[in-house]
Amino acid sequence: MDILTQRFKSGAREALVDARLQKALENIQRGFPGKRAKAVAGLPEWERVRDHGTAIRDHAIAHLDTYLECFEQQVVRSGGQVHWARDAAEARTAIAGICRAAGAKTVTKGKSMVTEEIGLNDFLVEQGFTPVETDLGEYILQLRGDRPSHIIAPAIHLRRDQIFEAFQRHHDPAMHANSDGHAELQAEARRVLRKRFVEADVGITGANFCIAETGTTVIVTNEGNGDLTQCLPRVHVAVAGIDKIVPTLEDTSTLLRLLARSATGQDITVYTTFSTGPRRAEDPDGPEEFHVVLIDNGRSDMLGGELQSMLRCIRCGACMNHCPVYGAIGGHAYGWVYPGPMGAVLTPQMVGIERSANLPNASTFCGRCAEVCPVQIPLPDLMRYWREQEYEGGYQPRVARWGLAGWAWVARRPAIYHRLARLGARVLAVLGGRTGRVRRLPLAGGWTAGRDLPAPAGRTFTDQWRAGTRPPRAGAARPRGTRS
Amino acid sequence: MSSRDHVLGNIRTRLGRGAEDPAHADARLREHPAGPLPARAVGAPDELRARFVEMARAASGEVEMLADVGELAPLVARLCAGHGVAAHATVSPDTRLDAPDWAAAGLEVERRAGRPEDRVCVSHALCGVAETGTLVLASGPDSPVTLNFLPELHVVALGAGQVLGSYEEAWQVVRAHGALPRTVNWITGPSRSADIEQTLQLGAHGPVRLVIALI
Repeated sequence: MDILTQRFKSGAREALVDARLQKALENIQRGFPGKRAKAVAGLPEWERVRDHGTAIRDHAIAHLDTYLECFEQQVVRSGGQVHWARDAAEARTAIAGICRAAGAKTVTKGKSMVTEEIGLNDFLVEQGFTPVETDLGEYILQLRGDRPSHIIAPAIHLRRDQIFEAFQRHHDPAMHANSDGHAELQAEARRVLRKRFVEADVGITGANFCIAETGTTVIVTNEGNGDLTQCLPRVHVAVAGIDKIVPTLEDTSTLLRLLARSATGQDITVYTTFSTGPRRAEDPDGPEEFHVVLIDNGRSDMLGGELQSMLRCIRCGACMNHCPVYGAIGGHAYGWVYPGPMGAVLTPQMVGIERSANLPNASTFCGRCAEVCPVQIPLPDLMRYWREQEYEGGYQPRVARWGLAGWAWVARRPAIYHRLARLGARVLAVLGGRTGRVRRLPLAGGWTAGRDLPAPAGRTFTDQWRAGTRPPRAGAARPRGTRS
Repeated sequence: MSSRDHVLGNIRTRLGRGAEDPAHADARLREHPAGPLPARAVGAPDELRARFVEMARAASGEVEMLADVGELAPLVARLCAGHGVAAHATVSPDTRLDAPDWAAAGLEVERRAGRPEDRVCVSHALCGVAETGTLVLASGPDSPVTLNFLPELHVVALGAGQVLGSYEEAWQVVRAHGALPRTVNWITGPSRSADIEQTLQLGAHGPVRLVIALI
């Protein structure tokens, strides 16, 4: 996937004036937070489960090497194979190698963000394979040559007519105009994808969890596409980041209580599938080969440093569903695979802060992301860490650097500071006129476009203090220009 | 140095250990302790059964109470007629499903794995989990995994005595069978998607209807 993180500002500006996108984004704000809140309220033990889930993830990360080795042993013991990849290129090569050895033509895919991270589809096409996304949202995106804008609802930025157009163009130009209802569109995708499931030689899924105890990979879906992807073809490849490791089946159960509630507000997804090895000798169906590709791609570098807690992430998407910035601009503006607060932390690690310096700034630090995170990742702190790196690395725009340097210079010189503050207060009071409201402010046109700035009293706090006119106590008359 | 050694070595170094110095974590794997269980996963058998039914229905599953497994055949025949499909079902080779007199109910039945053209399939669950109304199916010669995903209408038989409280109890049952089967499927309601404008539609790629026959 192309890295467009440097386009963040222009992408955000375009998103804000894109009426169609804004309409689509309303679906997030209206839907996800309320559903999550209801599901969480339905589990009175939520905070205890959440603490335990957080402890499980921390334990798994602190013992990651051992659990990865246990996982590998168990995969091999149950007849599967494990492939280790340091980076995206190694992972792509390993997966293409498996497809080639299987003599594959068509490769079906369940929804997997890590395969987006490594740019798998384009590579498979280059290598002569035909990858087919089977998650409804991902399939629509693939037809449109589009990219996911949300980690669990990838096509959330699209409206129904755009989906109808895509099907009409790629399935049947004669598709009837009244088949553009939700049910009709879904039935159309089901009909077409059924054939692809059956003709596939290799099925690739992600993994929500990799269980060390048993060598099991877990996927959660609502559609059942991930299951048809892995039970029909001859070869199943599960692709996972090394951070997906969980010690035991019981630990996985705790995390599953957190995952769907945080993601879609369901108590549990329709399908939760635990896959261990290839089909057994006596099994009538299932894949003959089972491969797991374990990908590092910058994850192990997060251990032992400020970002370690990010490895807890279970990719539920709650942080973006509750983020006012994501809610205003959608996922594409973030420019890569992972949007929202979790993306603002992960993307700089994976593509470099020098190419993504704007992302950690795309936050008001309102803290909702940390509040709803099921594994209590301190996302604002981690974004602050990246802001510091951005500053120290000198990746900020020149205007921002000069502005900050100027501010620091003035702030360390009280006499100059007071004189400037006095001047500013007076100018603003004059601009405010009789109404006490500043309607237009040079250099802050964006702020005053939608609201007035209450003008200050004309004298600074320090001046008032010196003159003995102390700030009024509660109940006393307020100086002109302030408001309750 | 292989990629494997490189990744494991970097993990150990970053965690402040030597590249050849693994962490010890055997106890957790041996003891696999359970986490906090929700109160709704605990109760007397009839409470758990009632909760299972309530939760399965809340997830858009249909639940039919049967006095014995023999009633499964007329139920499937009725469902076929109601769903507007031929009286034909693919039934898993599970011996517990030998008992119903399928032919007497007017059903043509095949005992095999699923095929893409199958519209009605019948399976037997290993157990049910009350906390979310979830069915647990374990793949094997008696329980082909394709039956769970290919049909439009999936009928799953479940003994009322096999309704457990929590996922953790279900794992105890699975563990009692020895090594894990190729696939353990937790199924909670019929297939669905909200990928088009966040509007929920049943029957995405898997079954449009899930009927649980509680025996």
